[in-house]
Amino acid sequence: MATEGAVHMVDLKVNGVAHSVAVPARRLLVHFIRETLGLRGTHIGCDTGNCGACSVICDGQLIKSCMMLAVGADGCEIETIESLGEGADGLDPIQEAFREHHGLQCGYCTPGIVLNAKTLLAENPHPTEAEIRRALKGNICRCTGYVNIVRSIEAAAEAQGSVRA
Amino acid sequence: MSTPSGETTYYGEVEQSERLGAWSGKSVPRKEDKRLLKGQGAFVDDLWMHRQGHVHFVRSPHAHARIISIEVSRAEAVPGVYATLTGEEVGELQQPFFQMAPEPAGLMRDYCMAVGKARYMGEPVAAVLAESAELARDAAALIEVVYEPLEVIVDGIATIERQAPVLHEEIGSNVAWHGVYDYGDVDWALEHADHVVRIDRLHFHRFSSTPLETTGALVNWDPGTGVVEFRSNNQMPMFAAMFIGPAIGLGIDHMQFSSQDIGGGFGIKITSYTYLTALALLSRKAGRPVKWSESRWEHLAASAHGNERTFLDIEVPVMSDGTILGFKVRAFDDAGAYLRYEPLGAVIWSQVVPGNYRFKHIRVDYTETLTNKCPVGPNRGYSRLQHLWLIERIVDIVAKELGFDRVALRKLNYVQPEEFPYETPNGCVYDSGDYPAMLEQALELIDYEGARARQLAGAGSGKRIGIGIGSTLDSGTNNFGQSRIINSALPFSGNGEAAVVRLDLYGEITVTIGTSPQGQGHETTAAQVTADILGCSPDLVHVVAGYNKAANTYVGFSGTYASQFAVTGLGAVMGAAERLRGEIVKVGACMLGAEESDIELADGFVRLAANPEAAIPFIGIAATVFANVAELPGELADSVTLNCRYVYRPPFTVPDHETKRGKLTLTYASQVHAAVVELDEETGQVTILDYAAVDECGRKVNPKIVEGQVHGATGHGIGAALYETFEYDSDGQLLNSTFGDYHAATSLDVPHIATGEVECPSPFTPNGAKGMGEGGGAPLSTIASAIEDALPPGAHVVYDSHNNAERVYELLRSAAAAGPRGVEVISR
Amino acid sequence: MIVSGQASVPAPREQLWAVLSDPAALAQALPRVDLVSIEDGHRFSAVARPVTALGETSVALDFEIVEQRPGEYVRIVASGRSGENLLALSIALELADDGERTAASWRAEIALRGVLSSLLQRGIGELLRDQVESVLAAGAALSGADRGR
Repeated sequence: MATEGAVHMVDLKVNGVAHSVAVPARRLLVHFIRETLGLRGTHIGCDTGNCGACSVICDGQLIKSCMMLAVGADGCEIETIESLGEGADGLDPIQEAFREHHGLQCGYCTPGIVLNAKTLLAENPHPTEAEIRRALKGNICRCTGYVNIVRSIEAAAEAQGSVRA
Repeated sequence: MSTPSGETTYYGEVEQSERLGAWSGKSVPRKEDKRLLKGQGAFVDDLWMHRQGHVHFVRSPHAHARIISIEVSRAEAVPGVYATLTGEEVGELQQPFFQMAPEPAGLMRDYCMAVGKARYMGEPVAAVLAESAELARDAAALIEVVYEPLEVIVDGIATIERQAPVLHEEIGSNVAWHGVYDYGDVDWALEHADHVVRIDRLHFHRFSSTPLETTGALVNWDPGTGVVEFRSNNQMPMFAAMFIGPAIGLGIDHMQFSSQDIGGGFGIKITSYTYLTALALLSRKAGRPVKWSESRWEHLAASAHGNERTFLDIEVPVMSDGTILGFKVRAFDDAGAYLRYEPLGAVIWSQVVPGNYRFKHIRVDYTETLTNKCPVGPNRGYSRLQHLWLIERIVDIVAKELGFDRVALRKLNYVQPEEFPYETPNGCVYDSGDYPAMLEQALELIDYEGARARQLAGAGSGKRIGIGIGSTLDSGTNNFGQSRIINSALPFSGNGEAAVVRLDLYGEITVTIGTSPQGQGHETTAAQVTADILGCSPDLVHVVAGYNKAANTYVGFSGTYASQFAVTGLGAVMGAAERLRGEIVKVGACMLGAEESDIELADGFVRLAANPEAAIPFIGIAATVFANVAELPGELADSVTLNCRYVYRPPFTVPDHETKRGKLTLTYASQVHAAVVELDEETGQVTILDYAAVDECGRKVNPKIVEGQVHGATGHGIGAALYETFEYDSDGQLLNSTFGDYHAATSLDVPHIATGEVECPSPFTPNGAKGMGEGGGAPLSTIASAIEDALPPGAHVVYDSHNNAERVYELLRSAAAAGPRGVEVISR
Repeated sequence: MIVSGQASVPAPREQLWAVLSDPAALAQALPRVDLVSIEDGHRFSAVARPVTALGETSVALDFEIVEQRPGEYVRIVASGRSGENLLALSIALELADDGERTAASWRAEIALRGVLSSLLQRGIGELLRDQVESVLAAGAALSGADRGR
């Protein structure tokens, strides 16, 4: 019990950077991201995989990083909120839309929600309000009542659409 | 007057500024957003201190038990474990926390961990500090606690009966407070009314706003300086300081508090001072910084819950024309196992004694009780939600029983627009409002006529449509003197907030405030009003993010709570900005060789109104005062510091303890909501078809931010009305202490919210704004109202603020069952 | 919380009784339960390892067979601890002839204290059912050489 149990090497890419790290078997991916890699934008809001604050993109899919062990991410490509926008100040179009439409208040759920929006719009560039709400079901927000989050995603979809056009 | 530190402090009220307008009132995008969107926010779990250890609390699985022994040696023997702390030690290391209740409840001995006895499931009994969070948890499993389980009491009313187990022996009973609020003459009214409507029982349930970020802190008791640093997400840090200091024998000057970004507070992060105290003691014992992040189950079971209130024997005198004269009620508020911020809740509701109505005769016999449940805290809408819900239930039930139209009955009984400022039966003054107009708007937004038609058309389809209305108030900017109504010995009164607006060495406009925002956009709105007063863009105004006792300014009430920032926080910012403006103009006039009346400020320059080319940038003003001061005449140099502190003080006096009367809050924002719901007759499932929220909060500083608060408050209210409730079993076990079982409302649960607004500037505030943000819990009334409207004739009244499918199912069937309906009408 | 169930087992009562009355056999029959010690003919301690989403949690349990009418009825109580969580269980099992089979009916009262009272409330019924049916199946699977022990 004083030992942390087995330690394994994991090799994975996070935000385009390759990492090769020894991790205890029981370390959750979210703790690996936050504590081992020091990326603090991914948050923890619950203990049971319900709130979505820990959402990241793994091999193109939105996952809850608290529901995966770091060892389970061996060989994977992870994108966290830090991968969006250029440099320290740039906002990507989805983030701009959230800023314009007041899609965030305390900001704690925001990284998970923005990544959710990113994967949604990649898969469904013109979602209806019902589809947006359906996609957001796994991300809890206590501040906004979701109305402006939906508006922000609709605006981001429109902006993306007009760029393509 | 200036202080040796070079800061000029002013006090008092602020005249309504004519300067607001260029930026105030506009939906300026938020300064906070860039960092939050990019994951660059600094929340407490993101912080780190050299040599820190991680804390895990061992918690009681019993709701009520004597603690016989705690054996920590096996845990302490584990390599990497730095220290442990038990309740027994805590009993020696701290004085019990100051209690606001009068005796006997004031004799309660409340510590940061259970001492001798655990009184609710999840109460901390010991703590472990170790090199990692996982190790702390592993080591905690090696701590052996021997308990002697005791009888559990969870019923908030049965708890005051003689046979109930007493939680705090030193009090002798489970009554925390009792008082009777008696205004007008309700006995006369009941005797002379044309009808008396009697309602047996209404119940407001226990839930919480559950901020997404749980409680956390990084605490370091520095042995060298003797200063304890609290980096925490507590949202009322100076209140916390006032409780922690005497408990651990530390002066306020030896405590530092800071936070930058807080992931939601909603009142639940006010009473975390108990945990901060435990962390401080552990840090001192271990000689290390200690870091703690509360898990979600700990937050749900052991941080704070909203007040649960039961109303019995409600009697409502009504005249034939529908005028409701008032009501009488016995109210029981279940505070859980400890008081903490309570029993303030026993008086806070009286800010809105008659709700939105002109009721004159009201008696509330109010008892606050203790049970083996999580202690309550000032959850969003603190204590007013419960009372306002009662009033709306009364209005709806009276309408239904006596055959009045709910809309017409409200319009008849509302405080009318021409009656403002309106004095309520206990001396509170509603500043402004227009409830009938708001009701009209709400009904239009849900297409009231259309909904009625759909309701009729849906008869027999297996789905029942109902339309609901809820009117509430959000009273803002408290007079803390109301605490004396529950305990005349309490040394609190008035209110205030502090701000500093200054120029930095190169003329940079900097604002610091005593508030601790959790998403309300203070950096942005403070920049807006400062920009208006100093005549520049908000981009030139730097508002220091977050709360910092050493770097920012503060008063005893500092923090972010109770729907007041637009008035108290911005009042302070405006006052400071005005004074700074005066100083800049003074120096600029001297440097330009002009009269002060010739000077204007624009775009960060001081210039001659008649000749804008003659201009000095703020850097020039600052550089002169800070580094080139010999160039100024002596008298001028002595009278300016460019560092202006202002304490906004609303005009309150101390309320009357005997008559329980006084001006308890400065502003009264209002809300009228309407909803169309559909009940499934087979399952009891409730679906919201349409929802509208009309809000009135005086002059809005940033309309988008205001609308966001309305959405959020509505989301919380809908969540509570249909999905969120804390379920305790008779063993005092919280059956839903995870987000898997406590259903926090999701994007599929909260519908689109149509919003409307009416603007009635407050005559009492510096900017015509009213505090808002908490909302009045209108969704709770609105949905209860809509469900009741959908029920078949003969059904039981909607008696609870929480109506899940099971409860609605029972209500649907109560009509056919033809049993008691919970209401009786006696007519002359 | 009260959980109950019924099962029809393809074995005579006496055969099942061999398992139900013997602590060693019981501990062996319970799935994901490791016997720690047998104190006497009625009492034993074990560690249960129910599977959770990302691994397993361990519950240290003390069992006692408190009441028995051989071949017909047994009542077992267990109390256990998992970290700060407490578990108390009382299960009564009745056996009746059903031709060559046995009709078994059982009723359990479980009290959970701690966060498990929230986490396990929906799963505990299934967990318990799984345990009981495994014990009965183990009894039914006994070979001729084990019978009558």
